[in-house]
Amino acid sequence: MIKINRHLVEWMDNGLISRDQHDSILSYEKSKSKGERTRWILYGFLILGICVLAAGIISLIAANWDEIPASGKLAGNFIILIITAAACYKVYGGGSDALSDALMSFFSLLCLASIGLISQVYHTGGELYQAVLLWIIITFPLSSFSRRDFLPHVWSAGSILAYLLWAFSKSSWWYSLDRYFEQDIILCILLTVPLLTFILHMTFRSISSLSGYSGAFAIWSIIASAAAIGATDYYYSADYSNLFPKMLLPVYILMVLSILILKFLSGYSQKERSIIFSIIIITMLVHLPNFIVAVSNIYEYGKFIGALYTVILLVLIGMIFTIRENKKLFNTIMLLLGCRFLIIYFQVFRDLATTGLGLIISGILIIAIALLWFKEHNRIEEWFGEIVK
Amino acid sequence: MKINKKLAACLAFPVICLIGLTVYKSVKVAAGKEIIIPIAGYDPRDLISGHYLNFRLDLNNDTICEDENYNQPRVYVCLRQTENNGISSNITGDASPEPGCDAVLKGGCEYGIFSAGIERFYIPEEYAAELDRIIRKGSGKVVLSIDRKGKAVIKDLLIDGRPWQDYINK
Repeated sequence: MIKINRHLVEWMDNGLISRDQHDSILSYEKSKSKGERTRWILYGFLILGICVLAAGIISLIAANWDEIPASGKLAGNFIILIITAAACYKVYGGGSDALSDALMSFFSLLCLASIGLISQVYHTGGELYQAVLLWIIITFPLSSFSRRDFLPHVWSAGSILAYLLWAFSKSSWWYSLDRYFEQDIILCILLTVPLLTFILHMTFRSISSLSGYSGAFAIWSIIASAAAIGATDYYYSADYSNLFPKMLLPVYILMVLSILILKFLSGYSQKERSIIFSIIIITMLVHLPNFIVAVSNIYEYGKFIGALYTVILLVLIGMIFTIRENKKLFNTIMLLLGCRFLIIYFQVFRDLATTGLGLIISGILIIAIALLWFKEHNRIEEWFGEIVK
Repeated sequence: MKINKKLAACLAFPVICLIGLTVYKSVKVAAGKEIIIPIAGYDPRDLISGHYLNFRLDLNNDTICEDENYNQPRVYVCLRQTENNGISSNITGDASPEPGCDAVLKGGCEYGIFSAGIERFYIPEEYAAELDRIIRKGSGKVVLSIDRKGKAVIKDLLIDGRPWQDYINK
């Protein structure tokens, strides 16, 4: 509302609209947004209430009431499940999106509770990831009926959780490489998450009926990328690398898949695709020396490699937010960049005087690069665009 | 009221899958060969399903996971029920029972410890500590139902030869 008001005042001051037009537009927007605000507040509280209720039910089941025989527990569970499914069917399309989504969320979480109950009654010895995987499979068709995006968000969170639980379990491929899940394996697993979520985001985006999932995976991709960048920086800052090619193979396969998807599936502007392509290529290059024994000792300078990688990637991510005109996120990136610069100098120099000198030089460099970019960015963007085309 | 077939199908799908899973588990429990095996264990907690006993099957044979089987992902163990619900066991080639085997149990060895994937028994929260203490003293046994492929499911937990609920109620 504040943004619209500011624009309207500016337009009125420049004679584009009259006072009456200003007042009627403002009055219309106020009435619309008031209704919308009330609705999303209600939606938020309903969803919160549903999640707390479902957590309470799961907790009750987990207490394992011995007084109720197993057949009674199962029968009661399925009766509640069927009643809830019937309620979802009745309410859907009835005019209240919030109530419909709340009921579907409750049903979805009840399915998870049911899996827990069956596991408890029959003492199944499976891993937690198998329960979550079963849950996401059986609730996937229903998630697409969500009126807002809550269920797809929950579903996407569940699928990432299932993957991570599997990746860190004894059944995972990673376990066969390193049974103790040392930091090398943890880094490799963390590197796969942003790539997987990006691939899923682009795939769902290309299917119109499943576009709700695309947004959810986009958000997870950004969060996972931040975690992966931080993990890479932290890992190489120890000035050595214990990674070997087999560990990184899934990461590189996913990188190649991501590049292919970026090339053949639409959805981003040429500028954005160029930047995402650069992020993937730079990440490939940073880890590449692990494949080449002769240069793998490059990680004796891992502190610099980690820092340079983080700085470059933060700049590229900042560029994406600039293109999307998201000032808040861009400023957040700039803040992180500033903090990382500070850390670099403390890592390398340790005393304030040399740190100060280094920061002054860096500041001058940043200003010079920013001015150069401002002058030549069209040419650079065209060059990237040719590569990604 | 207009019938939304797609929505109805998407709501019915998870219910049918869960009922199917329940029926499958029930059939496995009812149809397999019953065998009783001593156990030793401890009590952690599962996030979704609650307290459970995490135990190890005491197959009365320390050689099952030795030598080339030390980290073998798949091993088959021939089980013979002896007097007073004791057990004797030996390694066998596959799930087909040898003469004299009451059942063949499929499992794996990890760092010399045999596991059949069923070493978990869910118990009510209020009895967790007591049952854990009793099991550690060596008084526990599990009743398994083992199918023809060697896969086992747990039927019951016995304390001093009685179902655990009878023991607790006493």
